[in-house]
Amino acid sequence: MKKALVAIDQSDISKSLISYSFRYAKQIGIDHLDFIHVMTYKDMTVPGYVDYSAHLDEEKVHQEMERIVLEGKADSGIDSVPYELIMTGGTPYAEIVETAEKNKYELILIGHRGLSNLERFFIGSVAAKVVRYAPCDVLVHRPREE
Amino acid sequence: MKKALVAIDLSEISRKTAAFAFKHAKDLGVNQLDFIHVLEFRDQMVPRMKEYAKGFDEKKIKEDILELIKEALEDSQTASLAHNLIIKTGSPYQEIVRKAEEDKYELIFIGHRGMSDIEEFLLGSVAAKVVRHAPCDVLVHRPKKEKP
Repeated sequence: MKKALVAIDQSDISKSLISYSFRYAKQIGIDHLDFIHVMTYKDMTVPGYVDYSAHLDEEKVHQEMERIVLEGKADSGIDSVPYELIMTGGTPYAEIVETAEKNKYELILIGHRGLSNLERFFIGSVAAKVVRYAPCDVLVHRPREE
Repeated sequence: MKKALVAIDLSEISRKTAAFAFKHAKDLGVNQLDFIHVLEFRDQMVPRMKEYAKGFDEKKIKEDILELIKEALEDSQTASLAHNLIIKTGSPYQEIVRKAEEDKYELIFIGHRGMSDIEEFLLGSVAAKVVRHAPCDVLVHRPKKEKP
């Protein structure tokens, strides 16, 4: 069975990525999608870098992610690809790569984050780090509108 | 019409990436593949950093790349589709990104690592740089057998 891992957060790019993933899976013959969301805590060294404060409500984030995935699935118009949502915590790129190593995915799909040039220069995007360390193919999605 | 750009050099990973692109183009609705190879000249500051010595034979490289594409098509065991070879000179990731911007490609295929291992260890892979700067989707191919 061919499986793909889709790394998502609450950004607009992720919403586009979710519907794209369902369409892509159908086109290329992937049988199952695992969506992964990595909750991170605020990184004090880079102001504004990470989305969650120290008091994040994990249950609420989980519900929100489930809602986003369902919306993306509805947008794609594809009903035939089963999926799961994996919620985890830690450093995003490391969690994504570790999950991919453990579960033998064909492919990781990830959105290109719209970080500023300055931020990108200093910290590098999650996508670039996933590309560097992933054990499998990586599709970095960048919607044209961006 | 939907077109994709496939960035290749003469590495084994590039051959697999080209075969992968041929194999999946049709499923993805891509009806033209443009292969791009960027020639770069030796950087005197870092010994052995760049793959082409002074006075390299551009014509020979082009022939070798065409041969690689032909082999990749055979490897893919799919019917051929429209494809071209574009040769550029300069910095690989910049030329790949520029081409993608100018000609509005939907997707770039690239191998996770190219020929220059030492350079990539020091500076990050061409693929990572393409991912950061590309205006479109990028599929970074990492053949299964190869472990990180």
